[in-house]
Amino acid sequence: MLADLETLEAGTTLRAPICIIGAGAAGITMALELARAGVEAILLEGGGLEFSDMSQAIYEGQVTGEGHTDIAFSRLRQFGGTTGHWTGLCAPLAPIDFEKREGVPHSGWPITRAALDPFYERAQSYLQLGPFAYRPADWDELLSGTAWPLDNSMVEPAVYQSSPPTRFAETYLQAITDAPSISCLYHANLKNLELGDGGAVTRAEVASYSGKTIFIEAERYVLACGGIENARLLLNFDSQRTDGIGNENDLVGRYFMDHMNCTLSELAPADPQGNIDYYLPHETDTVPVHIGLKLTEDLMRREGLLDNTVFLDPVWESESHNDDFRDHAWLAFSAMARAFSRGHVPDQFWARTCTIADAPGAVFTGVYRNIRRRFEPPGTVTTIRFRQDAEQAPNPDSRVTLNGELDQFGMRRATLDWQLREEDLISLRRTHELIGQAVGAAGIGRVRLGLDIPPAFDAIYTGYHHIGTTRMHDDPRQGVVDADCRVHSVENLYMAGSSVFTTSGTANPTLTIVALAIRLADHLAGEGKGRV
Amino acid sequence: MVRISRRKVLFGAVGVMSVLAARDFFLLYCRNVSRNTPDFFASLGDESVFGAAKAVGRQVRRLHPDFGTETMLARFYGERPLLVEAAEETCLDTRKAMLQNQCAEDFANGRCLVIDGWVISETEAQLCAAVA
Ligand SMILES: Cc1cc2nc3c(=O)[nH]c(=O)nc-3n(C[C@H](O)[C@H](O)[C@H](O)COP(=O)(O)OP(=O)(O)OC[C@H]3O[C@@H](n4cnc5c(N)ncnc54)[C@H](O)[C@@H]3O)c2cc1C
Repeated sequence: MLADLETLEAGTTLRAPICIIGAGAAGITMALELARAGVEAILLEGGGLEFSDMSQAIYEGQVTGEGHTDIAFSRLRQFGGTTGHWTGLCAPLAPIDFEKREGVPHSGWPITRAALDPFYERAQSYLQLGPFAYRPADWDELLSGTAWPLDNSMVEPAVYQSSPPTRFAETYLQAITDAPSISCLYHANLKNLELGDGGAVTRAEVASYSGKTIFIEAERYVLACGGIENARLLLNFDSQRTDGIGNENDLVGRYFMDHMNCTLSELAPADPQGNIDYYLPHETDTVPVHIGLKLTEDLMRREGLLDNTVFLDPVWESESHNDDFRDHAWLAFSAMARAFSRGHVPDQFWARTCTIADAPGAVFTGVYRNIRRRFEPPGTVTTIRFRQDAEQAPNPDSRVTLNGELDQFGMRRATLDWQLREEDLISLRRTHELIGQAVGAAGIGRVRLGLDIPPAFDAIYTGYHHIGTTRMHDDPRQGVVDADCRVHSVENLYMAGSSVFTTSGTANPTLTIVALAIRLADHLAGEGKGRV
Repeated sequence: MVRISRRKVLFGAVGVMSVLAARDFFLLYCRNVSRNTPDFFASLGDESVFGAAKAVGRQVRRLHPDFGTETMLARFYGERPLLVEAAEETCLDTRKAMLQNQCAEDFANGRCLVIDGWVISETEAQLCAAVA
């Protein structure tokens, strides 16, 4: 069932075993998995089925700390959530990312990568990916070009797959509507969670934009509102717990992490005619694949380094083959062109058209270069740039807090204080240096580091990945949720999304978000059966 | 101690620079290098390569004043017989290959350093410092 909250009577109370708040990648996956297990769930979405300024305005807030980030536009507050924006690059977190690592303060998840593998496997199809195959050997013979003969005790290829990218709104709206066990309400904004005497959530207060309020009574509640909003909501729920729900140890909102998105360092190839096809995007029969370069886990452990995958961006002699013009307008244009070429009307048609109209320069350059490319060979490779979404270490001072401004529901807005430490960048520099050593040994070329000591932060941008604000840890003094994603101090409240990640690794987060959502759905469905 | 003439060192250095990774590197280093190259080197290869070698060498010397000195080089060559052979080698291609192998071995053993951001092998650093 799918309904607009505005069509319900004010004061209504709805009941279900499980209430999921937030219909993005995490929330939609959970609802569908619970439906598959035959468990009834109410799915609440604050936004509408389409973009609206009124809903989006609730995401506005302040940014302090690192300048190259954003709090409002990088999230989408509508059915489908931020998957309306995402670009679809996927990989699982690496086994080392789950470990307690010497050189990485506050690292160590209470679960292992092996425990997540079966859920990663199931997550692949939600994101319209290929098989759960992320070892380079899985793709032998299927990719063009050959891997560089790098010392495999130092550097190895890292496999990423590309989702179309799956827009959860378009892809799953029908399934959500048709599932008899799912009641999905949109324009349904969670305003408060009420706690009973025993400390469990007894009901959720939910409001529409016209001021209508309804209540949900469930046995268990799941917050799946995104990495910033999960923390903002918990901090706002301070009427019964002064510092907010789950915040007894002053952890909610802390340890905010993003990936350090940057193009830094470059490789001057010894042979400018050398073939680098293996490291460029591949179309395969099942899924587009992109290979990057990573230090081996042993080397990372030995050197105490953070995780990073370097993607190689060649700069060709012929300008027409270079993609340095790409910006938001170009991305919008190419997404529309792709949709039209498949005979579809593109999603977010008007939003994208406006993005292009605002800054059409890159689109003109892009179209011109793409035409020239057909007649002009690329020539030699002049240099190869290192592009990455590098890991930052968990840092308690990097955080989401509340400020004095209120949104239309009277809830305090968020302030994002993204903090990076010099050590994060020095680790990245050392990673590039070690790659430089390996490519030197293989005679591939020489690397020039793009980071000095002390490093400058001005080339670091947000990866649009909001991570860590309700982190997972067995110890309630070090984490907000336990290994089952349950808030330590509330027996029936769970968190879904990248806010539960203990560390960020370097892989883009959505595949892990979906895997954890499936795992949580299994857990709740299993618990539900236990209760009967 | 291995005796090595300055001429051989310079031969070696030019060879090294010609295997240093290509265009960007040279462009960077040749920008402010004077083109008044002695005839002796002109016959050995690209003058811009030699200019680059000198520029890198100056940077190396700033950080490691003992690099490229005769005492240091004698010891260094002693530990790397391939370099002595390379310096004797008259065929430019063979010499390049030998130097390339020596650089690769340095890298493989972690004997590299960062000079002006570039990750280069110790062999490259020593020979460049010698011609600076
Ligand atoms: C430009 C861009 C590119 C990206 N590219 C990639 C990529 O290549 N690979 C990758 O892995 N990730 C990428 N991401 C990140 C990816 O989009 C997110 O990881 C993913 O969408 C997070 O899913 P989620 O369900 O946790 O949150 P969201 O998708 O943000 O969903 C949260 C939902 O909660 C709803 N909500 C919020 N507050 C309330 C409330 N009070 N009551 C009810 N509902 C509420 C929202 O409306 C929304 O629908 C990208 C992001 C951006 C912005």
